[in-house]
Amino acid sequence: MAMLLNAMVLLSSCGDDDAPLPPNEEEIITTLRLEFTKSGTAVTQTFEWQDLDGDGGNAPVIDAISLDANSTYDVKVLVLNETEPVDLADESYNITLEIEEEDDEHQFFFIKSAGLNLTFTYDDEDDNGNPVGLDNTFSTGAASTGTLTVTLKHQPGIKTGTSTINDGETDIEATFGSVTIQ
Amino acid sequence: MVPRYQDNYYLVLFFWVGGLFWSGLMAQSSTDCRFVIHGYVHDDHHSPLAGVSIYIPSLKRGLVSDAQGAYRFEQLCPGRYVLVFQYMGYQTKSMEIEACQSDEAPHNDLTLADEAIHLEEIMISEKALSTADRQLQKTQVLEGGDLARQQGKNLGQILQNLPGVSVLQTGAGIAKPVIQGLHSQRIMILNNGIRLEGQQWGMEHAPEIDPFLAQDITVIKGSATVEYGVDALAGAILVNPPPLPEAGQWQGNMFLSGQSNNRGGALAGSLAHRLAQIPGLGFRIQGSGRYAGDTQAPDYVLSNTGLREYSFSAELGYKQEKWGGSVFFSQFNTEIGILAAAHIGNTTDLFRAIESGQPAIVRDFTYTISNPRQQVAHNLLKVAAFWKISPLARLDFQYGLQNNQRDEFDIRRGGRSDKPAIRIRLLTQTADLSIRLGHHAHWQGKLGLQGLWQDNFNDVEATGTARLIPDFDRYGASVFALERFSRGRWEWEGGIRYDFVFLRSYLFDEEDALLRDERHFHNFSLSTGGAFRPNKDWILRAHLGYAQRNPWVNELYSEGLHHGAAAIEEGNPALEAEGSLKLTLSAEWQNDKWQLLLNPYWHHFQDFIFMEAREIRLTIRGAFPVFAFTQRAADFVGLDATLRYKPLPFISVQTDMAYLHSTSGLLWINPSRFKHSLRFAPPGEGKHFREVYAGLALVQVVRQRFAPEAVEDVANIPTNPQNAFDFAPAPPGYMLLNLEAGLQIPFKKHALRLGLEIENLFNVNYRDYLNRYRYFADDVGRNFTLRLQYQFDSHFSH
Repeated sequence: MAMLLNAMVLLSSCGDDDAPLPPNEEEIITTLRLEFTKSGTAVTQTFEWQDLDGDGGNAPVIDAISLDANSTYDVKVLVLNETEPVDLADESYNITLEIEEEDDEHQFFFIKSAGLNLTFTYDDEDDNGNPVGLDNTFSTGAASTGTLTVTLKHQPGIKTGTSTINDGETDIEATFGSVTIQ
Repeated sequence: MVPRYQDNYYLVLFFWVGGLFWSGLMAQSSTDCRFVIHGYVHDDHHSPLAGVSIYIPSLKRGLVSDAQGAYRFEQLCPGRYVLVFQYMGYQTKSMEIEACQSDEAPHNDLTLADEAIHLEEIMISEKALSTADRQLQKTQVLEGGDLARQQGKNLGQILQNLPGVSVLQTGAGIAKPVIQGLHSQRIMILNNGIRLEGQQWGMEHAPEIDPFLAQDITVIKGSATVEYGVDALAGAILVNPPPLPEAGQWQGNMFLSGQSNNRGGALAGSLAHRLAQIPGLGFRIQGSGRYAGDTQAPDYVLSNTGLREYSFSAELGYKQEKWGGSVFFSQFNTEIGILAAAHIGNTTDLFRAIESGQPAIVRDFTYTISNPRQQVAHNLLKVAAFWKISPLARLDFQYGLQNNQRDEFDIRRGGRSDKPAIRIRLLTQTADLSIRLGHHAHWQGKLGLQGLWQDNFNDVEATGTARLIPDFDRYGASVFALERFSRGRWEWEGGIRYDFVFLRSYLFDEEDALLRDERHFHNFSLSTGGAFRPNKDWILRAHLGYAQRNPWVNELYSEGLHHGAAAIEEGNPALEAEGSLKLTLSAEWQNDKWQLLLNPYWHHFQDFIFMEAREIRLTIRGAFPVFAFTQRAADFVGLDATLRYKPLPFISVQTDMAYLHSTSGLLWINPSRFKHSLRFAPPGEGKHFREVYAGLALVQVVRQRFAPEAVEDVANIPTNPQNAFDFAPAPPGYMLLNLEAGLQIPFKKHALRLGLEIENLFNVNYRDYLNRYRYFADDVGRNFTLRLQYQFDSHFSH
C-alpha cells in the first residue's frame, strides 16, 4: 500500500511543470460610460457605471447623474473593458467597437422610473434601419428625480424593427440609482 | 440475478450439524451397513471443487468435498440415496445414487455449473421485474427485451423505467440519472467495469455512455462504495456489454429506429465472433449513431434542441481455461443543442421568461444545431486480464484510460461564437487489482487495490473565458476487502474500504499569480448486508453502508456566472468530507399470480454538501443571487415499490411507485412518481411470432410539495442561510399515457423484432420539476417511435 502511494506521488512530479496559464477573459465589461453634451454647448458631462474588478470583489461605483431641466442632450454610450490598457481604438478595451460591428444584433434600451421627466430618441441605426442606441438624444422636462436603467440586449437573428427589451439575452443591465433633473 | 430456491431441504440444512451427530450415532448402531458412495465434484472446466457441501436428506448426513473435490459416504445401508450437492456460486444439484460395497463402488462424478449469484447489494435489474423475462434472458444471450424496447433513447431515459430512478434533464437530450434523490458525484456509473470519469459535477452534463453497447444495465440502489469507491454512496449503475460468444459462434445485430417528435432516428449494429481455429480468441465490433432535429412541445417547436451522436467500440478477447484477457476500446461523441429560449443573460431575463409562460424564441423545425450547444467526446481504453489460480481463487486486473473532452459553445460577442466558451479535457487512468477467494465451505472473500490518476485541463487560450473549475491533478489509492457468507437461506456480506486522495488544484489570486492548493483526504467506507429467504416466495434483504466522500473540485473552487441558471456559483474551500449512512431494506414476494417489491430506504448525511443562496450581487449584467457551497445534515427517506398481479397468464397489471421525502431547502429533488401499466403478452412460443406484447402505461408525477418557495423578483431572494428559494414554483403534477406493442419473428438462426411505442399519447402540455427547461418551455409532446431489430446468432435454435 505504501509503495503504491509512493509510486503515485512520483508519477505526479512529471506533469507538474507545465503550469496552467492565468485566465484571459476576453468579454469582460467593466464600464458603461454615458457622455452627455448639452445642445448648443461644448460642455460634456460623463457619468459611469463602473465595476473595475468584475463580478464580486469590490462593489461597483455608480455616478449620480445630474442634468439641467428643459434641455436637450446628445448622449453617446461607451462600453469599456478597463482591465485592458486604455486605447479607444482597440476592441479589447473599447467594446463599443465590437457592438458597432455587430449593430444588427445589438440594441440599447433606456428605462426611467416613473416621475422622472426624461425622454429618449435614438439617433443611429444599423444596416437594416433599426435603432442601435449608441448615439441618442435625451430631453429633460421639469425638475424631478428618479432612476435610469441602461440595458444592452444581444439579439442575434431576432433583432427587428419591433423587437423589444424582452427579446434576446441581456449583456448589460446597469441602473443609475440617482438621476436628478434641476 | 436472484437465484431461486425451490426445495425445502434447505430447511433441513439448519439442523445439519445436529444431524451429522445424530446420524453418526445411527450408523454405529447398524453393523450390516458397510456400503459406500463416493466420487469427485468439479466445475465446468473440470477443475476440482473443494468445499462443496454434499448432503443425504433421508439420512440427515452431510460432508464437504476435499481439496481434490473428492467425497465419500461410508457405512451406508444397501439401497438408493438422493445426494444434494450445494456450493455457493454454483447451481445446486441432486442425484440419486446406489450405494455399493466398498471395493465395487463406482465413482459418481458430478459437474456443478457456475451460477452467477450477485448479492452485493439490493440489486434491481431490468430483468428482475418479471420471472418470465428473466428466464428468457437466461436462455438467449442476445436477448434484452426490456432494454431493446427502450433503445434509441439516452441512458437516463432508459433507466427512468425503473422505480426509484429518475432523471435530471436539460431538455430531452441531456439526462442525468438520479438514484433515490441523488446524482452526479454521488452515484457511480461503471462503463464495462470502468468507473466513468467525465465532468459529472455539472447539472447539464449527461453521462458519456452509448446504451447500445449494453446487454444489460444494472442499477444498485444501496450504498456501493466499498467495492466501487466513494462516488457510489447513493448507488451505482453498471452498464455491461455482452460477453464474447462461444468458440465458433457468430453473433450480429442491426437496429433501426425512427421517431416522429424530433423527426430523428437511430442506427446501430454489432458483430461478434469467437474463432474456432484459434481456440479462445474472440472479438466484437459495434457502432451506433443517433440523429435528430428539434424536439417539439404540443404547442411549439423547442428550438435548437437537435442531437447528433455517434459511437463505436471494439473488443478483442482471449480466454483459456485458467486465464484470459481482453482489450476494449470505445469512443462516444455527442453534439446537443441547448434550447434557444433558455439562453438568458440575467435574472431579469429569467423572471421575464417565467412570467411569459412561453419560450421567447420559437423558430421553424430544423435539424440545424446552433449555439448554445455542447460537444462532448469520450474515449475509453480498457485492458483486462484474469487468472484462475485455483478453483477457489481468481485474480482480476483491469486498466482503464479515459479521455473526456467537453466543449460548450455560447452566443458570444465580437465573432467569438466559433470559439468554445468552455473547453475542458479530463484525462484519467485507473488500475484495479482484485482477488476473489473461496476459503471455507460457505465463505467467499474479495480483496482489491485501486489506483487513479487524473488530470483536468481548461484550454483558456482557446476559449478566452475564465475557468469554471480549476485545472487539477488528482491521485487516488484505495484498498478494500469484502467477505460473503452464504448458506442455505442466508447470505451475508460485510466490507471495508480506505481511500487516499491527493488533490492539487491550480488557482489564481486577484493578481493572476498561480497558487498550488494541495489537499489530502482519507475516506473510509463500511458496509454490511444480508438476505434471507424464508421460503421460495419471499426474499428479505437489508443493507447498511457508511461512506465518507471528500468534496469535489467544483464544490471547493468553482467560480463563475452560470448563464443558464442566472446565478453566480462559488466553491467553498472550507468544506470537509461528507459522511453518509444509507440503509436500504427490501422485501420481495412472488408467486404465480402476484409480485410485490417493497424497498424502503433512509439516507442520512452528517455534512451534506449543497449550494445555498448567500447574497445578491450587483454586476454590470444586473443583479444575481450568489450560490455558495455549504454543508449541513440532511436526510432522504423514501419508498420504492412495485405491485404486479397476473389474473391470467397473458395479462399483467402493475403499479410502480417512488416516493421520496428529503430535508427541506434542497432543490431539484424528484417528486413522487407512479406508473400504472397493463400488459398483454401471450405466453408460449408461437411458430411464426414470439414475444408478442402490447401494453399501456399511465405515468403520473405529482407536484413536488417539498420544493422551496418561489420568488418573483431578485429583490425577494432570501439571503439568510437555510432560506432556500426557487425562481419559479414547482410545476403542477401531470399524467401521461404511453402505449407500446411489438413482436418477434424468428427464422432459423435469425430473429426480427418489431416494436412501436407512443409516448404522451394525448399530447399533454406539462412541465417536469426535474427538467431545467421548466422555466422556459413545456416538455416534449406526443412521440411515435418505431423500432426494428435484426439479430443473428449461429448458435440459435428456435
